[in-house]
Amino acid sequence: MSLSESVHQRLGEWLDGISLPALDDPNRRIEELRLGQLRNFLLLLLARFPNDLATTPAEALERCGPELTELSAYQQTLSLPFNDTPDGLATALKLGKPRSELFTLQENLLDQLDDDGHRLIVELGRLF
Amino acid sequence: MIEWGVNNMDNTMKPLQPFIPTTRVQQLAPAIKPSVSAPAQEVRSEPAETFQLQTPSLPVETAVNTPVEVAKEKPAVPVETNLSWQQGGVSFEAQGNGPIVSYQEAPTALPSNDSQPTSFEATLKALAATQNEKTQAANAMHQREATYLFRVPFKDDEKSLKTRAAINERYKDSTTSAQSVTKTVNSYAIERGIDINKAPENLTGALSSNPEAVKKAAQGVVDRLFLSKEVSFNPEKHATVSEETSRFLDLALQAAPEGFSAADAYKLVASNLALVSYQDKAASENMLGDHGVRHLLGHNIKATEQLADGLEKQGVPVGPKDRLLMHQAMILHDLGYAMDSVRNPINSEGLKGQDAGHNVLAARYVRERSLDPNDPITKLFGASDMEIMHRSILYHDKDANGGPGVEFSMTSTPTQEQRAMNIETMTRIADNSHAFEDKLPELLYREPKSLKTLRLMKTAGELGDGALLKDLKSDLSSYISENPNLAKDDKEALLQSASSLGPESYRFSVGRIAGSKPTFDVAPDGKVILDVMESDTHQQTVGLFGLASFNQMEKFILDCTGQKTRLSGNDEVIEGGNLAVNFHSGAHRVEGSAAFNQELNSELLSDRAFTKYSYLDNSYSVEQAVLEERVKKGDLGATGELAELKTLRRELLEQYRTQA
Repeated sequence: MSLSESVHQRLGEWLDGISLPALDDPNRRIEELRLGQLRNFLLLLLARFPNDLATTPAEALERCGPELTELSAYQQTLSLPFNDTPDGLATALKLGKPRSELFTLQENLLDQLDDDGHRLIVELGRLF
Repeated sequence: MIEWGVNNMDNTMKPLQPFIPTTRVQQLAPAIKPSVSAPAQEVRSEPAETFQLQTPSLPVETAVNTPVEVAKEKPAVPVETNLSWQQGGVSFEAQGNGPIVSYQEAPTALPSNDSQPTSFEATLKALAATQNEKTQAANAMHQREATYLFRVPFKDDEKSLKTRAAINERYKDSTTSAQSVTKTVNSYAIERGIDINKAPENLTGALSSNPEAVKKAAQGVVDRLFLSKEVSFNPEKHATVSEETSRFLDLALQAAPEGFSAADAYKLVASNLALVSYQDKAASENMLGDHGVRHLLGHNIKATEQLADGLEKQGVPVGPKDRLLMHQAMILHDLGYAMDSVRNPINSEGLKGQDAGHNVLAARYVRERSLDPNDPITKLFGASDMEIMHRSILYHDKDANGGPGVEFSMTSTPTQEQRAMNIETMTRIADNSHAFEDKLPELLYREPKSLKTLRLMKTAGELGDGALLKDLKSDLSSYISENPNLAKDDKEALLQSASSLGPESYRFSVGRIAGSKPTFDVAPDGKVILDVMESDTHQQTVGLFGLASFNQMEKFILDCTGQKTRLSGNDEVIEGGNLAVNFHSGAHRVEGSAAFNQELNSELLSDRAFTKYSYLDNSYSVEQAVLEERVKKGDLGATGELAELKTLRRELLEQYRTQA
């Protein structure tokens, strides 16, 4: 199995428990967007250490941001199986808040990616 | 749906129901002018008010009432501008492309000698036999166009009726006549230093007596149109066109009637080259997807040859004439896209379905050319072959009934109708199977860097920043203008294309970066087998643009087999009707697109700054959508947050632009 396939599979395992609202649900669009955002974040955590893939999101976060001030709270939010909607999870983590701790972490991780990690983001990420 | 008209499964002409009258005109007598005095000329039919499809060269017989039967009663000669004769010291010439004059009637209006036919009578009678066949073929062609115009897009809902009306409008536009298109393309060629109507003086005698001289002269035209800084400089296209020109002439050498002249061979090839160049430039001006050299010659013609090889392997004859006919059909099949009534509105308004019915415009062009006995195309192809060519063009995407039309007659002795159907089917499969990366719009294929602009424009669109959109387009235009590797025509076309970009332009185009050129084979039972490989850049690119994997591939399978499918990324075989698609997953190199892939990788996929920008901006984009939703629900507290976020998004973009 290629690295890309392994990462794809791991993400699938993590996100497996999440379900989206019905197509005609007014929250559907936002939940879809949030799921993409959450998936990108988890992908980035895996891509930072592509040769030794973490088994859980909490483990992946600890490897990438051991210095995070609210690490344990974030790990709690990311413990499997996820028990919130994508919007709930992303809001709790403040993934898209420009000056949040995890937004800054993402900026730093993107700078630290090796070639394999970069390729994973390009291949599997949602960048549009 | 009202079923009427001509079924393409046979050539039987059925009585036509009244056509949707878009105009009603009075048929007029032909304008025949003698240079001294004008003998009275009789028109075969009484002037009658009848529906006309806006085809100036349409003979009276092609009016809706059972034309073939009329033609059988009275062999007829279409009046052509270039028909001239001498009689009693008086020169006559028939002007215009009006209704037709019966050869039986025409001489009675002129001085004649019953016992010893005049040279005029003999000439006219000789012409009549050929012309009658041509007229009947043209009638059949015209009936098919009428049927198509009545039925397209093969649905009758409100939207479809509007589409049908728009197609009819474009069809009757004077700029879609063969005369108008020919004039435009002639001028286009002259402006580029090529006179397609004048063969070099050394091209005398039959093509068979000096084929190499014709090839050499034709290559000069290829070089001028595709490898010169004054016109277009594109080594990849130049190689494709050179190969096709040589193959076309080889086939013509085998298939041309005896005596087909070297000069006519040159004129036909030069005209084809000008038409290809003209279409290529028009296609490069918009984001519709390539309809130029890569599509017409690089994919479609090669695909028909592979399918022909596949049929021959199974004992079904596909001779040089059939292959040549398909080459010619492919060169012309998308000409409608380049006609002013399609091209201009696309360029000025963007893509709004103006391309619908482009095939019937090209079909009209071929029908009108088929009536000109001096056109080299009619000297090379007989009337019945012109009719098959017309069918192949009219039905190049869907068959006469709007279906996929994949059906081969697997016989070693095909009837004329079976032959026609096989040619039609090959044309359709070839055309529908070109859906991947080398069909990208020229701007994206030639300048993969423009994909970055599309990404930035998406952001500008979401920010509602018209000025930023304009700036981004201006950046791209400057980049194109300052590119020393682009020739004059290339630059003009790409600038036009860049000016048409919008914030959502990526949606239609980027998914095409999905697969390689398919290869074709035919099984003993006539089933067509297509092998398609995933492009090595596919996964990266769809990821970058946030598109679902394999969308284009799934659409391709749907178009070809009628099967809705969801590819999982593994090797799969999908069968539908008489077609099977073997999909091979994984990264595969794409033949012929090396430069594109290399540039895509260096310009885009390995650009870490771009990846970082896209990733972070995507997160902002989601956040913006969430805040906008809250504001919409009356959460006033979100308004300030939204404004701040937009400011940060703009800053991120400017930071990337400065860096890039």
